[in-house]
Amino acid sequence: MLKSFNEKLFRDFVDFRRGRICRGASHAAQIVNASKILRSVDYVVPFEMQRVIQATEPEKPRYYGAVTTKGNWGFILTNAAISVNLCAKRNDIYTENISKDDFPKVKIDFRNLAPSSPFGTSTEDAGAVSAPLVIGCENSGRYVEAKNLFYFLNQRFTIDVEIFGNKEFSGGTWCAEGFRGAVLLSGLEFSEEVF
Amino acid sequence: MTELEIQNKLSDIKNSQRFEKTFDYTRSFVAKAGEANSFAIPMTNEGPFVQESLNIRYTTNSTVTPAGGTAKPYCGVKLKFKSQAAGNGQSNDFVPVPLIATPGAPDGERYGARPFFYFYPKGDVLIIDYDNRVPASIAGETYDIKDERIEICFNGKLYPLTNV
Repeated sequence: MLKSFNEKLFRDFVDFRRGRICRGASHAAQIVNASKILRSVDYVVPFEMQRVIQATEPEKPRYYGAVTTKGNWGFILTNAAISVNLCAKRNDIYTENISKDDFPKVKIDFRNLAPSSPFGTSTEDAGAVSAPLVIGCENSGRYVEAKNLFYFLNQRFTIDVEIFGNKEFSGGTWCAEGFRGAVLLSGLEFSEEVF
Repeated sequence: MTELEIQNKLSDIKNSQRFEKTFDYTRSFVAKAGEANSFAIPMTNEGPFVQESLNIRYTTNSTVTPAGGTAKPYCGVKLKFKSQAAGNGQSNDFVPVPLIATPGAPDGERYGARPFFYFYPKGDVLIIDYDNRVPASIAGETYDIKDERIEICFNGKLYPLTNV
């Protein structure tokens, strides 16, 4: 059973528990195969964003969420997905669908660990990657998935999720943004014997 | 083969858990508008079940209308799965169906399956929680929540003749 799971993991692990790369595929395989139990798990971070941006407010609306992995179970993050529903108009245009330009940005950080962000620097917005580039976008309410992430995390590990609006105000025009959705962090959890 | 060889082969199959067969557990149900509820799927006593993937179809009978906009198809059903034997859920919270259903257009044919590995001991019960309640408006949008049909197929392998 474990062998068939391992066959589906095609890439080397990065061992973020100790902030270093695993020695190689054999090291990662050793950790996984030593685990008595290995199974899938989903972590969900629901979000809501609502912000009225006036002409004098150049900020983008932001939402912060976090999820902490369970005690006694390590977690291997393999997939990330996002679903978004548009709830409000933007720029006085009654948009019905979210285009790629409208899609919010998503930044995911591994708290208290360096390098902390799998998608660039953790302290600058420039390091945040637009969701369409990382997770993608089809249409309002749809989801697409980032696969083959393979980040090796610890028990009681906190993953911070930051979502912020992608569009700045257009001078003199106020706009309202309202999004509701969820970020799904999926992967495998393995039992504590490996710790 | 001699009789002894046959008996050894049967014993080998019985004890080595190498005898397996592919199996689908399916459930189709209506998530009633405005309700949260639970369903239970009893597992067979033949042997443990190792789930490998799941496939979900859902309808989008509901609509969401952005403030000042026009109504769009919407499905707000959220799901949670758990094994009665394990106690804990397979996710930390309810998951919106669009996030875990397999790709495809709304109401269209699904293709592929979402990998999800989980072990259910013999005679376990798979519990599905759903939530189709009206979400609170956050930016003046309005929801018209209707009954939605959800169809789920849990695919995996059964290991008969094992004692787990």
